[in-house]
Amino acid sequence: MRLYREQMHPKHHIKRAYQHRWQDGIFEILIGIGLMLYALFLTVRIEPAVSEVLQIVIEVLTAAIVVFFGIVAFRFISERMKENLAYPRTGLVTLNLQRQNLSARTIILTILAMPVFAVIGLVVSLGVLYLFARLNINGSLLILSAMVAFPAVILARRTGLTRLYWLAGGILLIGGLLTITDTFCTVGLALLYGFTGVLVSLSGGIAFVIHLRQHPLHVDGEAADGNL
Amino acid sequence: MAISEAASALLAVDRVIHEPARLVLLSILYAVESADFVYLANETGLTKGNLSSHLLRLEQAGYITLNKTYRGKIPLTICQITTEGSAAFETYLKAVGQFLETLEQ
Repeated sequence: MRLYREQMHPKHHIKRAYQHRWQDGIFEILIGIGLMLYALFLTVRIEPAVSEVLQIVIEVLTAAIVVFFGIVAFRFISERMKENLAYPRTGLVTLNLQRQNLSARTIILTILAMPVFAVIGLVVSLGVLYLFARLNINGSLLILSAMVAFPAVILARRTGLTRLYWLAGGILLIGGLLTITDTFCTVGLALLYGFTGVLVSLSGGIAFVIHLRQHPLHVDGEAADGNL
Repeated sequence: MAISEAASALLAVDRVIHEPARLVLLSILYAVESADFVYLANETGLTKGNLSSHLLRLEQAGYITLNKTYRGKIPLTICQITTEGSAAFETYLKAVGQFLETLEQ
């Protein structure tokens, strides 16, 4: 009698729809791969033939381009994966922006602002790292890991998926361990994003396998829509 | 509002929506932009045949639209609430809410 136990409030169904989008772990796998690629980008640093400031500017701009195309590729790959693997098992749901008090204008502005946010995020993370390194203060990687863990907590609250809280804790732990080991500069940053990427991908991968097992495909010959 | 007024408003509620399974279906479709048959079946726990009949009933009442298409060789039925459906659902919630408020007073 699950039907009668379910809450009826639209907010509950909006949360369920969000949860449905994230529960299969596909987004996490791709985000993790993105973080690992970024870590790889940080390890392949440009030869310092120019001034230090110019080098940072070049790196940030290159990373922004990588992030922008990453977002486009991310959307394409995730939709294809969901269409072929997730939707036939658990169904397709589209979120209603009006019900979440989000106007089309807000959405367009948010999408347009995404590359700007990406650049700001990169500048802040590199700036914080540079500043702490200059001041010879330890703990910068812990701060950065908190910045990476923060979206995971927001998502966990939005979707109600507890594994995302654990993920945030894991990211903080990586930051803490790297801080203890006194890893600084690009190596530390690359390790932080690299390990975080592995952790996020792993979490998504496990969730994905469990999801496939829990939701087998419909038996051949049986109409998915009950001959509606 | 006196309880008799609230009770009469409750007695006048739309019986198409008042049925529990259809109420759940409409509350889901009210919250989201659209949902397919498989999603609704998973969310409600209804059997395919049962779900089909309830969706058809809601479609006949003009509260939802059913867009039938294919994903490869698999049938894909996208359900979406109509403006009438949203209005009817809101009216229903208002009537039931007022009645419950009267009881609590």
